[in-house]
Amino acid sequence: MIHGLDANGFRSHAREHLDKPGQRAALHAATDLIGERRGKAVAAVPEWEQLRESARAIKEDVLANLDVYLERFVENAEADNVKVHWARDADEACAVIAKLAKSAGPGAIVKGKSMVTEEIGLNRALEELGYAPLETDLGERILQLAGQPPAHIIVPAIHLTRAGIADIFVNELDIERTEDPNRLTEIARKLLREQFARSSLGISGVNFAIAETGSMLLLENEGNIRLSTSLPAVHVAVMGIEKLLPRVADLDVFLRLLPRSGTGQKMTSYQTLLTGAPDPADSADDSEGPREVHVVLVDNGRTKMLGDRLERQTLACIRCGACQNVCPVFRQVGGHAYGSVYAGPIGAILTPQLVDVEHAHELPFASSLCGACRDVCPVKIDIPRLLLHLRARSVQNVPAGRRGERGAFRAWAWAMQKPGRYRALSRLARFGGRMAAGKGGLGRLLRKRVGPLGNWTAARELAAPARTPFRELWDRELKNGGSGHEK
Amino acid sequence: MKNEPDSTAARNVILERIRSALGSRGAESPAPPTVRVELNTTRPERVERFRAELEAAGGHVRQAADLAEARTILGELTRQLGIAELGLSDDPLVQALSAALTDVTRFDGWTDRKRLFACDAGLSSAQHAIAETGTLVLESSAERHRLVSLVPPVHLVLLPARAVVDSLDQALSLCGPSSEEGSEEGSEEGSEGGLARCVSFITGPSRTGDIEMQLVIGVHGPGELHVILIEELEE
Repeated sequence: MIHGLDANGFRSHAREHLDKPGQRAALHAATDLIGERRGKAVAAVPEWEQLRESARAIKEDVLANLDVYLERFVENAEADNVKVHWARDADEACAVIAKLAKSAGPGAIVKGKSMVTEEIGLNRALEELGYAPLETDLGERILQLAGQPPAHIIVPAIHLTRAGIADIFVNELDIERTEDPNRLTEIARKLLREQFARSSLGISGVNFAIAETGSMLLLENEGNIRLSTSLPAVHVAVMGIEKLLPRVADLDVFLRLLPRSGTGQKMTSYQTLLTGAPDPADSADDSEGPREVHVVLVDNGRTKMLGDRLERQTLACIRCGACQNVCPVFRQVGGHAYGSVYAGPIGAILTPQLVDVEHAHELPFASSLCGACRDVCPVKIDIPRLLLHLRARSVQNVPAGRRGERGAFRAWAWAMQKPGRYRALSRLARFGGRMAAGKGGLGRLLRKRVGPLGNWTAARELAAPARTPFRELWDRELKNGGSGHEK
Repeated sequence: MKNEPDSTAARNVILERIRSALGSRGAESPAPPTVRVELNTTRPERVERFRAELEAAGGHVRQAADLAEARTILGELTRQLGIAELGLSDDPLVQALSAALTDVTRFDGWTDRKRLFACDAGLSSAQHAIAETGTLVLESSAERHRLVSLVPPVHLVLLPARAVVDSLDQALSLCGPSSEEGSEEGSEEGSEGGLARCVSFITGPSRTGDIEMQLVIGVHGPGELHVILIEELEE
C-alpha cells in the first residue's frame, strides 16, 4: 500500500486546493522559476536528446534484466560488508528499519529526503514504536512540523508561502516570528545541528545504485544527506528495486540529466557515492563514516509493472519533478490534491500501478493529455500514453464510478455499426442538442442537470447542432458539385 | 508490525515475481554509446573553466603559482574570515602549509567530533576537480576529509592544478572500479584499487531554495567554499 493514500477523491480535493489562499500564486511562481532555469540549462547542452535516448536505453536494459542486476548489486554490496534486506511491501520495509532503529540504541534518528520512505509511511511506523525520526531537509522539516506530506518531488514545501512557514515555526518551535528565509533557515539549521551531533542512526533514500560495485549515489544541495550518512554509526539506505544502473560510468549520463531537469542546476552542490562498510572484524579500521551500512530493497508493487512493456517504462523514472513543473493540472491544484505521495503526471501513472487501480481510479483522468510531461521527461517516459492505458483499465475495473460513461460508449459503438442506426440516433441527438442549447428554461435545466453536461457548460457555451447535418447536405447536392449553402 | 521480517523469503518472492514477469531472455544488451565529445583542452584552459564554473556556483577560487604563494593566500584567507579554530585533514600538504599559520589553533579534524562542530573552518585537499561543472572530487581512501569538508561552516581547499580534468566522465573513470587503463596517479593509495568508501562531489557551498524558491546559502553543509589552486607543488 501507499501510506495515507486517499487517491480516490481527486475531484473534491482539487476543488478544495484551488481555494486555498495564496497556494496557486506560490505554485505558479515556483514552477515558472524552475521551468525557466531548466529551459536555460537544457538549451546549453546540444547533446540533450542523445543523453535522453542513452538514459532510456540504460534503464530499459536494467528493467529487462532486473533480477540479474539486483543480484549483482547485492553480491557486490555484501562482499563489501553492506547488509542487504529485502522487503516485499511497506510493512516489511518498516519492520526491518524499526529493528535497526532498536539496535542503533539511543541518540537521534536523522533522515534525508526520500520519496520511498514517504511511500512506505516510515515516519509514522517509527513514531508508533516510540522513535522520533527527524526530517533534516529544510523543506521536509517544515512539512514534518506542519504534519503534511511533501507536495512536490524536489521542492516539498512548494505550496507554502513564507508567511505560512513563519506561522508553522512560531506554532511548533516557539520562536520569535520572522518571515525572512535566511533567518528561518538559520533557526532550522541550529536546531538540527544539535541533533546531528547526537545522532545514532541515519536514514536516506538512494538516487542511483550501481550493480558492478554495490555503490549508492545520493544527490542534494543542503548537506543534510552527507551529515546523515557520515555522522551516525549506522546508515540505512532505502530504495525501490528499480533504482539500479549497471556501471559507475553510467552516472555520467544521469548526472548530466538529473540536476538540470530537477532544478536547472549543472550539478547539485553535493553528490555522494558510497561504497561498502568497514569490516566488523577489522578493529584497526578507524575510517570516518558509519560502522554499519544497510540497504533495504523495496518492491511494494513495482514488480507488477514489469510484465508489460508499456507499463514497465514507469519504473525508468529518476524522480526529477520536471513533469510536475510543466503540468497545467499540477500547477493549479498542487501536489496534495492527488492524495498520493507521488503527485503530478508521474503520480497519475505511478500510483494507480503501485496500488490497484481501483484505489486511485481518478488519477489517470487528472490530466489534459497535453503532452508537456512527455516532452520534458529526461528518460522519455510516454506519460500521456500510459494515462490512456490506465484510463481504460480504470473504466474496466471500476464499474460503479463510471457506469454512465461506459453505457454511453457502448451505445456509441452500437450506433456506429450500421448507417441506419447512426442516422436515426444522430437525428435524436440533434433534437436533444438543440433543446439543451436553447435559451429557454428547458435548455438551462438540461445544461445544469443532465450528467456531465453541467460540468462542461459551467464555463463554456453549448453550441446547437446545425439543423441540416453534413451527411444530408452531401447527399442532396454537395456530391454533385453543388454550392452547399443551406437553404 | 506483526512478525519478524524474513529477508530471505522476501528475496525469493521478489526475484520470482521479477522472473515470471520478464520471462526468459537473451544475454544482457550491450552498453549504449557514451554521449561525449573529446575536448583535448590545455591545463590553463581547464583551470580557467573550473574557476569560472565554481564561482558561478557560489564558490571562491584564488590561484597560487607555487607553495609559497599558497601559504601566503591561506594566511590572508584565515585572517579575512576571522578563523581562530581550524580543523585539518591528514593530507601532508594540508598539514605542512597550515603549520605556518599564526593566530590560528589547528587540530586534526577526524579525531575530535565535538571540536569539529564548534570550530570555524575545515582545511582539506581534493583528489580531482572537474572543469565543466566546477566540481571538487574528494576520495575518502586518499585523505581523512569526510567530516572536515562537511561539518564546519567554512571549507578551505588546497587543490593542485594538475588534478583538474575536463569532465565528470573522466573523473568517474579516475575514481572508478575499472581502472584497467589507469596507471594514473592516485589509484595506488586506494585500499583495493576500487572505489573509495565515500567519494564526495562538491560544487559550491551548501544551499537551499525550499522557502519560496529564494536562494539561501549555508544550510547544513559549509556556507563558504574557498579553493586555493596551486600551479606548481614546489616552493
